Amino acid sequence: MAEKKKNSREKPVKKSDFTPFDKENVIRPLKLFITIVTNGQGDALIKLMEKAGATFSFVASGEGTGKNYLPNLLSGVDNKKQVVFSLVREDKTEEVCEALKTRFSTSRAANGISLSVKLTSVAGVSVYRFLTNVRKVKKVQSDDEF
Amino acid sequence: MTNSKRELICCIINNGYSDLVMEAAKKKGAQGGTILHGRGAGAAEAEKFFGIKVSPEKEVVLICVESEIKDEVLSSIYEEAGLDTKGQGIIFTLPVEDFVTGKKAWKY
Repeated sequence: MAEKKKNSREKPVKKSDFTPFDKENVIRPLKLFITIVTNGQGDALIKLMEKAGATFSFVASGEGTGKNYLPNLLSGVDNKKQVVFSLVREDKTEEVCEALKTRFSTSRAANGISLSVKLTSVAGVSVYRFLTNVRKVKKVQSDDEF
Repeated sequence: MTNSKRELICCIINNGYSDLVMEAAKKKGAQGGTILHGRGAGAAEAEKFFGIKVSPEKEVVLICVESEIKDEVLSSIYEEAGLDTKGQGIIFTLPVEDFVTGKKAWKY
């Protein structure tokens, strides 16, 4: 055991073996889309957004507190909402916005609100790759190859 | 659609105080908000030493407002449910980049 330890000490991994990820690859900033829809439509929305280019999303359930909500017993109005958090690469935002807009304007029942916030940092290359669904994006590559 | 001048107000408050927050926000012109339920993960030892009861059940309120009225809404929420009150709210805002909704007539 002791010998093995010595050996590993003799051959430390050089820092120069790793080249920083951003030197060889393009890094595109991410945006967090927070979408609020009526209860039950979260999964459909995730499908729609992932088709448009969103990469990572999850649903949480919440309550709406809009202007015209009467108490549930009186009106039967359901104020339950689903909140979809999803990550979108910055170059895909317009497509996602378009998809959301067409979805929201199809009918009153499909209405919702979506807003996006820019992410300022991501910890780790592997996390970035996981979140963006990108393995390697060489800087020399043209944009069409995405 | 893009570059809308709005801000997202996030409030993390003790369970049951979301009505106070929404009332305070609506007073200053906010349209509506969304409430999520969660659990705080504060240090358990803080309860012992400082004598403040940190209850773990939390509510998160998300309110999207125009940036002109943001400061007013923020201060009114802070007065009603800030850290000094029983709501023990942590309130912060995030800049919204894109904003998408359906037709105006469908706004509730």
